[in-house]
Amino acid sequence: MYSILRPSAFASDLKAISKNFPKSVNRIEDMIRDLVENPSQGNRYPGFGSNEVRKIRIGLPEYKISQSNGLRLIFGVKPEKKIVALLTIYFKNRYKSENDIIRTAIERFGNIEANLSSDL
Amino acid sequence: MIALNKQFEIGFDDKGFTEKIASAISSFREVGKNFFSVKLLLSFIRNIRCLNHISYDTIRNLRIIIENHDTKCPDQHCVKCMSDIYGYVKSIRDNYFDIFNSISESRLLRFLKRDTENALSEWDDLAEDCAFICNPEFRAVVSRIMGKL
Repeated sequence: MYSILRPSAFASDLKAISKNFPKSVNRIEDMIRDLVENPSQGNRYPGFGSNEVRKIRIGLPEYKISQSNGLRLIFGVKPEKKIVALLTIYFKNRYKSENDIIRTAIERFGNIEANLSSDL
Repeated sequence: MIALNKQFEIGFDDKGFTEKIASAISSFREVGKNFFSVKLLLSFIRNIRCLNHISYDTIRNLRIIIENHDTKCPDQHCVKCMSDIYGYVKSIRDNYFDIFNSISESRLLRFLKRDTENALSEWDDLAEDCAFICNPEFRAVVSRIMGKL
């Protein structure tokens, strides 16, 4: 069993998403709860050594949005401490290009890094 | 020879006969044109379906290569391989986008739109993943976060 770390920057991302998709809040929470049992979901990003960084796609059938056009949840897994750190969640169709997504994600990760000591 | 010339002349003088020949030739041309148009259309549809099918296989294989990159590449923190893959994936995605636009414009090919859109979004997703992976700033900040946990 893994423990889930929700940094404050992630909580604000999730709050914004919940505001836009209130009917899908339970689905998103279920997906996050599933990570406790099975953190090896989604696509793995290589190059992080023993840690894993993964991305899962979440469809929103309540809004007729398929998995490929739905939400993206990026999280990190630290197997030796059994921690799953939620990094960011975003709605893919909100962004024009992958560069916009990366720029926004890096900003958010910067916030996570800055507040991590208080979040731990 | 004289007889042939006479026949020839008679043939050309007979307007009804030449009109019949001309209309027969034009109708053959029309049939030929339609036949090739239909054949071209069918082959286009078959190619698009085949392209969508190949796309899923290629994406699945590329994802396997990407996920195992750090165990296969001598440089664990290599960004170059991923940048190369990102370049290829991006160009395929952009070309696919053009195909999707062409299909969307045609009423006749509208039934191919959904499949092509799904394949396009898979390519787009892969391009996004590659962009993340080959971004040194992303890798640095995430590594720092993971190190602090």
